[in-house]
Amino acid sequence: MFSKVLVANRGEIACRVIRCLKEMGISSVAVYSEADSRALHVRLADVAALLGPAEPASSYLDAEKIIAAARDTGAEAIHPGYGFLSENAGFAEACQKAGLTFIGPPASAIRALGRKTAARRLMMQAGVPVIPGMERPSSDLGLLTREAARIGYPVLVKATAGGGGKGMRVVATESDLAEAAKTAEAEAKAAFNDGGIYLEKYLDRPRHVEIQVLCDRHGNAVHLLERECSIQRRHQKIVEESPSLALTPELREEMGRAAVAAARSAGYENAGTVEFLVDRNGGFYFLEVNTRLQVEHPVTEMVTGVDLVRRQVEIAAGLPLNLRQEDVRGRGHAIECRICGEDPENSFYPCPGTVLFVHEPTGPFIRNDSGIFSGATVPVEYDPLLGKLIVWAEDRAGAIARMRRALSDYAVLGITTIIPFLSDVLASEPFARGELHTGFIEEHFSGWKPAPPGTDVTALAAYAADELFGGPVKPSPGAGYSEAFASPWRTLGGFRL
Amino acid sequence: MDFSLATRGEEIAFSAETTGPDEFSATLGGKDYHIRVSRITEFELCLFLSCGGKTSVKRVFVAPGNAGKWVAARGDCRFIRDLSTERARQGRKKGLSEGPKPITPPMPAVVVRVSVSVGDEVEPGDPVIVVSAMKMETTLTASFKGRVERINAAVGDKVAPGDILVDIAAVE
Repeated sequence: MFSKVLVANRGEIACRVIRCLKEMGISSVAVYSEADSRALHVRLADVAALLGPAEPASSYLDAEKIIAAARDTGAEAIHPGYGFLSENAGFAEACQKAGLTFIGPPASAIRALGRKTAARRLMMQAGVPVIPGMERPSSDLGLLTREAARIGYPVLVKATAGGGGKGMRVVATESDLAEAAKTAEAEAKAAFNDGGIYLEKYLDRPRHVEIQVLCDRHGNAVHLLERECSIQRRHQKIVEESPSLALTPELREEMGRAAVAAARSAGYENAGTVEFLVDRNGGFYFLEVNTRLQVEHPVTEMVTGVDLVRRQVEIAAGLPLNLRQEDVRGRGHAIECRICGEDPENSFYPCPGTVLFVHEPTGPFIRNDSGIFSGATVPVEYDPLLGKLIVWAEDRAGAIARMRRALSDYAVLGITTIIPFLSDVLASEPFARGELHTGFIEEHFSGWKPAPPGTDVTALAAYAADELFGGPVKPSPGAGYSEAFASPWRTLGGFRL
Repeated sequence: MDFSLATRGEEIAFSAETTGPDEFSATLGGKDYHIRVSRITEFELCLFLSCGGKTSVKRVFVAPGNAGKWVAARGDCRFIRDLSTERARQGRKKGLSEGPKPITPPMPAVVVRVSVSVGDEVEPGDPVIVVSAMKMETTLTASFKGRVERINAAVGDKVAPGDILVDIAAVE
């Protein structure tokens, strides 16, 4: 096993990985940009190395600097988290050349699956159903126009290196194709340093269901059931759950088998996720493979009881996966809400700034994977994900009730978050009925407004109370060990019992 | 003490009268309330809200912001603006309210692309400038027919709401 591991990420996922390393008795190295010198992940780690300026290209995307930091600090392996360099085959290779273990799949598998067009070809060969679309990327507008006409509008512009909805646009008519292609390409180039785009048929109201897999280098491969991730805005997930109401035991087994076959066909190793779209008749189509740990991995951890990050580290260290398919059993129901620093009233625009105060919910079966704290700066340069709130309960209705309670206990002051929006989604009838699809937010929540202030006397009373009774906090009388309290332990002097 | 507040597009005025070392009364939403305040920390208060003989406990969080306060109650976090401070400051503000929809970013952002040049004619809906915040690109478009007079921002500039990035003069 490794004795020291560098975590090449920031925010909640860096904290998540560092906490796991501590539990495994492994020393942790954080890396950070100038914008993150006060960040939580830096303070949790055993060692921290400054990478450079806030811009991702000069910090968290700078492979050379990260590898140099690993060498300087004596780390033996690098955990990339998600985003940034996590799905960059060149980085995985560079780690290997530098004598470092990349905690993730081999570069060849990232290459085979990470390029979405190549992955589609691979899946077609393996007999996994795919969505109609282009087989090779192109930014030639003439070709894109012809392909869009062949596939039929509406089409989806996607980035070959994409993930998390970056570089993705729905195009309804030919006249919008040029601008969409240009912005998608620029966004993809900025986010992944790869501007390759392609077109795919846009399916109407499908569900997004994904299968978690774990594979070791000794030929063992299992799937860890599904995650339903249909609640999305801007093609980015905001609520995830497991199990999915759309899967019968038979469909679950079929999709699980397909996911394991897909991973095996690419020589996959470590944790990965095979994403599918499930149509209204239970047909499923391969979407893409995420060759990394997913943001929503805690949902799987809660229902299976498997620590995915720990498994990632063990697999990377060469240990055999001592987990058979029949050992994987889902228990109860888990839901995750992404706490994003965005304004749900204003098209989910990001809201960078300073977090003045945070209060996170606690209680039974509640998990906070968070990177923020009272006094945290949320920089303009990075993703607006502040943290994740995950709950578990014996059944779905219990999980919804628990999540609603937990959200109502959450307080983030200083920046706008989507918490009130999430509360309304969880409280809605269609969500309770489980009628989920990727257009759920547009269908039920476009033009969403929070409850009008006039109905909320509490908020106004709180404002007035704070104004009228500000100032220092009064010490409460009778506090156990205060100087004023005459305890016999303090007044009697030395004695022996 | 008189309060003149605004939140979520609604203006609310009320007065609160201190009735004890930790108590006040106020008429809110047409009802008379008597409120006892227990301050827990700098950011946390516990309110005992009495109305019509019934008392309920409210755990709330409050933090001071720029001309107002952030308030969280039962998961609903919002910024409540103080209109009296805001009115006193007016005149120094940048031209957010001048003319029809200026080209200004909706959030702090970085300019990634300028799609027009000085002298260009633009139609409503034409892309003018593209900004990026937290990796999301947003295209700012012209809201009226006009001619580009001046470009006030360059690629890589950090810009904020209220900054007018491109001056467009209306053309009939």
